[in-house]
Amino acid sequence: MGTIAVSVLILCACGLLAGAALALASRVFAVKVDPRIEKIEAVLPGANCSGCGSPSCFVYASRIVNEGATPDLCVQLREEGASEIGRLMGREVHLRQRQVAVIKCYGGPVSKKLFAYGGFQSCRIAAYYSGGGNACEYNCMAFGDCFQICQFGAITHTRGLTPRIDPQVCTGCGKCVRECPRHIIRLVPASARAHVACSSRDKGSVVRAVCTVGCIKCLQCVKVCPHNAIAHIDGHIEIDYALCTACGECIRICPRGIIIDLQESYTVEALPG
Amino acid sequence: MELLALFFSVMIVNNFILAKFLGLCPFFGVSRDLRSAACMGAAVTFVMTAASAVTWAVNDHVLIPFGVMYLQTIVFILVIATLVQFVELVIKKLSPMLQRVMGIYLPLITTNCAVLGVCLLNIKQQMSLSEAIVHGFGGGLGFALVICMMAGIRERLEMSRVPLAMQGVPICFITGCLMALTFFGFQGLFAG
Amino acid sequence: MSVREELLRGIIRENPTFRLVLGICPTLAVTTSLANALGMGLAATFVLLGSNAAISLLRGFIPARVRIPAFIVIISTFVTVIDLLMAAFVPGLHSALGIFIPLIVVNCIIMGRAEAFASKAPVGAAVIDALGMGIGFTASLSLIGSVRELFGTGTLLGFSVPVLAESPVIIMILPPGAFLTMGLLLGLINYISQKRGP
Repeated sequence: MGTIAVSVLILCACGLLAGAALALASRVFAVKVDPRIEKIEAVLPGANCSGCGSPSCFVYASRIVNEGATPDLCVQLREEGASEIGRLMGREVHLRQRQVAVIKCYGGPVSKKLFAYGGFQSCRIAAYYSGGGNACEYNCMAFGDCFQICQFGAITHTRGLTPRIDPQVCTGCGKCVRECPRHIIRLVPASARAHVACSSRDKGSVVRAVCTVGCIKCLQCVKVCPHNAIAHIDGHIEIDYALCTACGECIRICPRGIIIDLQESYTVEALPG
Repeated sequence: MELLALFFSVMIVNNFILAKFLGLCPFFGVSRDLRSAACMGAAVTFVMTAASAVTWAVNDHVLIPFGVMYLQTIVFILVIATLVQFVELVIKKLSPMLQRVMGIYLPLITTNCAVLGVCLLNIKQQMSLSEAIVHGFGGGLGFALVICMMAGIRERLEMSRVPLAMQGVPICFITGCLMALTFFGFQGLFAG
Repeated sequence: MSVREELLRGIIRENPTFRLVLGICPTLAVTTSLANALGMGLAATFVLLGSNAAISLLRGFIPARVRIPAFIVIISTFVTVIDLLMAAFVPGLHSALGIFIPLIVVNCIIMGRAEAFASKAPVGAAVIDALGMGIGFTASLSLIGSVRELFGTGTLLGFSVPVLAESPVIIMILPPGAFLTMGLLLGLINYISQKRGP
């Protein structure tokens, strides 16, 4: 009888002590969470896409409230959301211009092959193995790493062809930009029209040898642009969208047809020559 | 000096995962990437050290004087659960950095056999308080070491061609076998 | 589902060791011989039966917020009971299993079934589920134990087996052998179930 009494008493005492200690601790160490964080999190899209630079919408909401971060970093925020956050925080919110991702390569696997690649079908891995056998060092290897990483389904990929990014669906979160091992995916304004679809920094003679749709640096586009929006920078041709008026002169003049209009969809089937 | 020998012996020779089979569930569950494995290892080390100390004290001052050694299992698991809950509350309040590192793993560790196992082993092997603490700390570090190794190997395994039937958990067991064989070579390195 | 189907579910379709991959620690540690494996399996079955029944009976009284600590206390009570019983009646087995008897408390199978099933089901269903899972666990432990004992020492339940006893593969009863056996058996079972189709 004594043993039973002792065990029961000891267990009860332990249980009570543990319970009391935890109850006390939950009072003493209570963490107050600003209610505005939850409200702002509800306004944010909740996709956790990290386009704003924060790992999740909740963290971004905390940063807005606690660290004074500006709400305009969210790539998916629209007018209603912005004004709601502005109301909750008691300050003005201005939205940034919407951006979309584009792949700066026309032909992708059209370029010459140096060898048949039988390795792991991933751009990131193939980049270690001489670019998966492509003669061009800057082309899209078309294994679809960007397609895999896009959480919004904006990228479609047919095996062996350059993936296509749908500007209507793309939110500009930038995940594919970071994922591409050759850094040939760019973020451009959603209203952009002219796009030079080649990232090759090689000389014209080299490009001519490896790809039928590579930029040969003839610089006709640079000469013809009435607004000086297009320039030969760092080995390849870039368009400054602050100056570009979408007049279409460069699109018409390019002898290889690799400056394209982003508003019209393009496919690799429509290759020139 | 003996404590140092005990530390290295429990960390490498009598590794908790590879030699004693304690803590295997997180070994296969949390070791998919290196970062979460390292965080899990840190959390386990922390809990094992703290739990070793507290359960040893409870055993010495409550269970032995009252002669209720048979209550060890129940009281120890209660103490561990309370301790982990308590630590969670403290960390959440005092250190957001620690919360980010080990916050989500702490509730998982409550039912980890490594924690309860080390507490019971301390008593079974009749260790003193300092030995118990070193045992817990060394065991935790050994756990962290092995789980990080496994995470590194698994990240490579993602790129390899594994037969369909062996994909996922079975190949991890084979990896564990090879790791256990390697650690077997440490036998006899320390007297402890 | 009928009683027979419930039991079979725990043994085959949702076998805790080979399908759910739960409770690995005792599985690898105590299967150095078939006798040990059977002992552990039966002990765990006892605890599973007791805790499932008790938790199912008390499910109306345990508040949701403290259910995990409550389950832990109930399970550890049954574990202490079986621990003391084994120490009294089968001391050889008790010392062979060592700390893995008290470690039945933190066996994910028991906690998992309590949380997922027993706390929501009537006593009858909970007991049958416990029985199914327990038999499944014992069966898988016995399989691993027999393989390891046969190849590791050339005996089975202490009886020497003619061909295998001549050249035992010691590694099988050591830690690496445990991992190897488990990995290969899991792979084999995966292969069989893939062959049969989804």
